[in-house]
Amino acid sequence: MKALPKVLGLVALFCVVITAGGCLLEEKVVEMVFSGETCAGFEEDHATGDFSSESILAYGQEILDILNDNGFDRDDIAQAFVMGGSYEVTDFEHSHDWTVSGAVFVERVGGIADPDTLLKYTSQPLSEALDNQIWAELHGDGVDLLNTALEDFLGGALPILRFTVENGTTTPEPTSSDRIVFDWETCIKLHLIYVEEFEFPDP
Amino acid sequence: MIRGIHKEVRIVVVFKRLLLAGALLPAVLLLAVPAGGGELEDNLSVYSEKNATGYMQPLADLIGVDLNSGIFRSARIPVSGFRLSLEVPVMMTKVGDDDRTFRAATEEGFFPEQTADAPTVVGPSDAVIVDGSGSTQFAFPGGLDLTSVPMASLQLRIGRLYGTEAILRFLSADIGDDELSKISLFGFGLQHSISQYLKSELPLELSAGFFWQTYKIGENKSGSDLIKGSAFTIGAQGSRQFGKPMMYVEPYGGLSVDTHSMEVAYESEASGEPQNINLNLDRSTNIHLTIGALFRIYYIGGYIDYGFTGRSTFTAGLIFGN
Repeated sequence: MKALPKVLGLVALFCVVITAGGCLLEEKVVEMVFSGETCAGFEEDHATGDFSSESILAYGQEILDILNDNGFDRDDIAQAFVMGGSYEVTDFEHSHDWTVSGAVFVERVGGIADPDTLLKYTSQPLSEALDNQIWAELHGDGVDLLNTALEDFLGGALPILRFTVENGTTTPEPTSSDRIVFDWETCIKLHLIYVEEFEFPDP
Repeated sequence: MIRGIHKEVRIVVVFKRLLLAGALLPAVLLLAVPAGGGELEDNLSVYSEKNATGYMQPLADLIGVDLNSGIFRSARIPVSGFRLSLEVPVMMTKVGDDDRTFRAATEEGFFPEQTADAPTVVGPSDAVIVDGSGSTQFAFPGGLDLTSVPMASLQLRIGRLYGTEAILRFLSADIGDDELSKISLFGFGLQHSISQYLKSELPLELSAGFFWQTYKIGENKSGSDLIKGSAFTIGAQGSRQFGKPMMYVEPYGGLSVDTHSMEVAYESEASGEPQNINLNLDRSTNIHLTIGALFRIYYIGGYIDYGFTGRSTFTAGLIFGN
């Protein structure tokens, strides 16, 4: 009987340990990183090697739609910025290859500033870029414009962008009987930082 | 021709799945369920397999140390007799400084390629951002900012036959509706008295034992296990009782070799086509030194010990039975 209080004390301690298992939970706030990609497509059909084409992208609305489709709100995103950019030929079929050189520009629709250079491509064979994402080093002016558009998006705006391809040279030179025809796209890869809360035991 | 072709903005959820899954095992075994374990997106991680391994490896190693602790204590195993006891060990392995960061590399598409000390899954919670060319930036995700990784378990000890006892760990739970809801743990081992073979009386009892465990967490889209792992320990124990047969204190020590491995398998659709990702985390092998003491008052006992594998582990527990 003398041992009974000791036994009860141990049982009580056990109950405290089990109960404390729930009290050991701590809220953890983690900065998670999302990778997102948005692309602008171009359809080329030209008789000259020096050509230009445009693509309008409802940048903000598309990002918003995808966030919502995945259960996120714009307010959930703490930061967003451009990580990288690429281009890729999505459709090309011809008796011979073409090698193109030029640049992609970007501007805000409704903005007053001139378009900024986003990326350049030099001596790019179309066949090598067919179904092959080619990463390109981006230019600061174009990235700054995109990052400003992202900031405006996080602030509530829905920016619209215009991408313009200015192709300078094509080898061999296209002609009216040998037109250069292909589809391609330029994509911007984004990193978005989102804060996630977890409960985790951390005594 | 002017045309804007919309391509889907592919949102990826980095490690939400992996982080929650890695956290689920110790949390569930501590009789707690982590919040935020709802519907998880199945998208490609921002990390390649190499970075993903560096991010997750410390948690796997810490879980392995926890799993291989709290198993052996007293080396005194009579040659015959009946023993049945229920044990509740609670283990806690301290997160070391080396566990909190790893040397991560920026991923494809970022220029120039560079490395940075980025948080692991148990490391600082703030993302690390590095600058690239042309105002680009790359973000490495944050971690859970843990000081230790706790774990508890239930185990059954049954004996005695020719100086041998069997130890069992078993857990099977379905705690929700999402793909992380299922968890199972099974462990089996034997502990055998060495003292029974020694003709001369030593000042302490000696035994040897091994314990093998396997666990599974969650289910991926292809129906196979999201996370699975195994742990194994083998070693020797020594102890000495002070007191009466059913009321005593018993200091003990042990030296063992522990191993643990973990695999994560999930399906990614970032490339547009389903892609199976298999993350094989490095197998850890440690020398494990344990010192502690247990007390018993009739059919209830308790113990506390300290284990060192290069990391520090504290274990405490209760024993119900004989």
